[in-house]
Amino acid sequence: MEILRFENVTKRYGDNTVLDNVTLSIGAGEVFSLLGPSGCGKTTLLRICGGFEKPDSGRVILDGVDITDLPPNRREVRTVFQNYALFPHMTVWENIAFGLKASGVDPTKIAKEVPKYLDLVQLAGFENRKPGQLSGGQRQRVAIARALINRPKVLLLDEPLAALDLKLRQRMLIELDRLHDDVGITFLFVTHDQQEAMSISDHIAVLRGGHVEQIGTPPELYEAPKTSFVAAFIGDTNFFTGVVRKTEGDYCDLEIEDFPTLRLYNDKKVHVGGSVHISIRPEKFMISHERPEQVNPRTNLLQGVVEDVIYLGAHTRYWVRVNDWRVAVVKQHYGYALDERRITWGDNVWLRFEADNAYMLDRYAEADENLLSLPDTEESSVDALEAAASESNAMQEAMTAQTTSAQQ
Amino acid sequence: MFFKKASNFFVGLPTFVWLLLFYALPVLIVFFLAFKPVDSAGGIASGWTLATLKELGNPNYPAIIWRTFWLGIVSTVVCIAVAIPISYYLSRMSSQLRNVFLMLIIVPFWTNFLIRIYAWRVFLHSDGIFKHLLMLVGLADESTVLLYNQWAVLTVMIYTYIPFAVLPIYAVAEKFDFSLLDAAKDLGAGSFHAFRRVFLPGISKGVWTAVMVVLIPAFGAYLIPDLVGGPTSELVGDKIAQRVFVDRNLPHASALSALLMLAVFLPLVGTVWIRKLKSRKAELENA
Amino acid sequence: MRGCNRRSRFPFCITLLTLIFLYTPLILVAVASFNASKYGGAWTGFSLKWYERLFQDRAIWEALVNTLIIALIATVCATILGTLAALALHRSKSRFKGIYSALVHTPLVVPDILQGIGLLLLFVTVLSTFGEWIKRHFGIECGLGMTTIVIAHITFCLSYVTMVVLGRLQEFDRSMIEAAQDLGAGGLYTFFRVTLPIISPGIIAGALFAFTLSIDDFVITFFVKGAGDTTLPIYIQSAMRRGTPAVINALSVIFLVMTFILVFITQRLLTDKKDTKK
Repeated sequence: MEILRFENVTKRYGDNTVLDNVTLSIGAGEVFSLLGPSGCGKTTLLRICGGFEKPDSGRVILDGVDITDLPPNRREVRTVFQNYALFPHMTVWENIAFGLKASGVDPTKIAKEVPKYLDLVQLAGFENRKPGQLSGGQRQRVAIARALINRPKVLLLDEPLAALDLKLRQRMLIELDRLHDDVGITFLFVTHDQQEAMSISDHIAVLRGGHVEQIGTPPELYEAPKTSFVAAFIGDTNFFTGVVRKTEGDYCDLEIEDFPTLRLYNDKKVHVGGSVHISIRPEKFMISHERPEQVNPRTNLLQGVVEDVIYLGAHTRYWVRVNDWRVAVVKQHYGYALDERRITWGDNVWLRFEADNAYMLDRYAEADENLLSLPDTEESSVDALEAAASESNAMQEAMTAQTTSAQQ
Repeated sequence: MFFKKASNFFVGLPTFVWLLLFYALPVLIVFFLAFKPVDSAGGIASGWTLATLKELGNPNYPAIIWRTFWLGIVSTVVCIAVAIPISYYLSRMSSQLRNVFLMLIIVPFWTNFLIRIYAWRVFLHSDGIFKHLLMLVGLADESTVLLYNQWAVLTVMIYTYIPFAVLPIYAVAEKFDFSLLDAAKDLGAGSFHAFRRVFLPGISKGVWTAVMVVLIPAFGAYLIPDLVGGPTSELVGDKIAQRVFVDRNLPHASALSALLMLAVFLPLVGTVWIRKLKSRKAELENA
Repeated sequence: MRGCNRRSRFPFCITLLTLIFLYTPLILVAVASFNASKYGGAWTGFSLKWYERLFQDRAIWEALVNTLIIALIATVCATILGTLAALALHRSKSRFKGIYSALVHTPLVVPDILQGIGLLLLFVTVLSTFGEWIKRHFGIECGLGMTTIVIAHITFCLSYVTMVVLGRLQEFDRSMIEAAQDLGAGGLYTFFRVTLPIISPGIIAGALFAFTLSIDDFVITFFVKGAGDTTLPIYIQSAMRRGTPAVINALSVIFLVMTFILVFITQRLLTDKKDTKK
């Protein structure tokens, strides 16, 4: 059941279009994330929902009621602000009770409600502290309790974990998940951190430059990204471009310049001669010194030389040169890594991957390669990464390089 | 919302009307009355005249204006020169000690103006301890008069305005990132060089504010020359008061005041304008 | 961190010398107030006679009462007007804001003698034009006096209040107001429960500022006062013109102690605010 809908929402600041005709539907009781780099319009969308900004056009529908023109204090949504915005002159108790007092709830009822929410966020015993005497995580829990006490239809969370350090962030993420299960209120969660979004969300909308790039469950976005931006922004990947030379049932052979021909699952039903962009996640490759035994005709085998190795504990990243291409590979360490014959710089290795594990993209822009952790373009640098993250005009132009010709 | 555009207008209105009546209007009247003739009873006659402006050609005035000018400039320069090292020292202190020192600087600033002047009259009095000390060292004799000259005026002006200069400079210096000085030294600059090339530009905004808040009241000084100065150390402010209370010549007083007001507002408008030009230039360069 | 470097002694010496310069005359006055002799040139023994005389002097008490009445009324009015101006300036985005801001802020730098003569000329003009008329219709005798002093004090104090309160408002996080509205509070509720309590230390500091300035003022009062009105600064000045009466020493010490207390309270208020922010 739908609880919140954005219909064709557009917002401009001067010449800058922050939101371009955004339409989203959020189901009751779910955790829905707005994910994107800074400047993608996610915070503006949240502020429109909270009533702090007015859209230039479009509607916001909450539980069947048009709330576009209502002031913030008359909407049944509550916000957890990025800096928490706790009232410094009030105690924890007064902060949490604020929403009830403001709406004129009977004091005896307030006295009953507040302890419940103190318990919910595990802050019982802290009610007489001032916000200045709390840690970052505790302040955030006060902000959440304060927002939840009115039992809003939707809770808006604006980068709620950004101000916390890494370990605390992970703990609060689990805490948020528990809270969500306890109260059953819809969460609309804004973040630029793809891991946060992936771990907590039922659905994610990836935003970029003011429009929705893709909506889906976390596995859908990861495994079946529609565009090179989604593929590169969520996790890491390898992009290849090639021409279909042969089709055989559901499969096809893709000829890639300076690269071995790959056999792939042809889910876009591309005809012979069509050009196509694909994304292959690094962990889909299996890397080994010895030539793997070929299991079936849909298995691809590549030979290459290891150029870079980054050991990360649970897994290792490799960059393997195959002809003219650098392929990113991730190897998970199942066994005791110290006993293994380590794959290292300059080793000749075999890469193996199954035809079903690549994914054909709808849209590809070369600039998106800058989002990858180690792009193999010549001018790759930290600057390029930042340029890719912020929505530069150059990128927007690059976006027009689409691959529709490959499809029918 | 409570403070929508319309309601914001009503929130601001009372003060606006008040200042229009009791601040802007008096300023206008000052300029206006400079062109009115004086009547014999000390009031203002009807009609218009340029006679008052011509009276500003009084042969005593150039000396008085010049004295006002140089005393103002010298006291400003001394105050700033002292305030910069003090601000530097204060902002590098531990915060507890700093609060104590800051309070010590502020207290004279808050102390009743007349009492501060009075203290100097006691200090420099011909039976006072300071003169006795000077006589012991041989720098003065029985006939020396420490009060009632322009050096006494200058000293008390500096004394009065030092806290005015310290506060704005300190406010900026406190926010200065002192690791920049270390960086400059790391790059081979000497202490003084680093101070001049890195610290001074960093606090320039505070210095300009300090110049304004010292120079402008200094130009308008009246009480200090009146109480510790003598007939040879009159300033423009004294003349204005004299025209009002002794001569009952209000048009003449307002002509002098208009002159002073121009002397105050022109540099003020000038600096604001230069700052605007600079920021616009910076904007253009950035764009 | 500091002091280990030879060259960094210079700022320290300047600071120390300045403090000596600032306090020597004041300390001298304090000592002299307990001296039986008149000028402190020679110590002729400890005495409290100046304090006794001070408390017996009825003119001083009258001046003190006048000063306090003026300061209280001026402080209350200036604080209200100044705070309103700060709120309006803080929220305004209109083109009008520049003029308003200039009107509020330029009195801070205009020499007091100019404000004094301007107000005097205004009052004289108004009284000479309407004085007769008011007297005829309302039977009230109009002239320079306590009312004109109070008006003048409100005018020069309110800019300081605005400056201090505006400073607090600019530090004030706008998301506080958004949070209150988000939680269902209306505009008035938000103002009285959130905005006002958060900026109240600034308002109190501004009021203390105004109070001190009002007590301190001589020049403007001197211009706009009526013939018989005395405030403490007026009294001290006229006493000084006659010489250096030693009762003033005692009065100065009392003033100094009061100043210390006031500054201490103001500093506390302003720093407490900062602490809770962290």
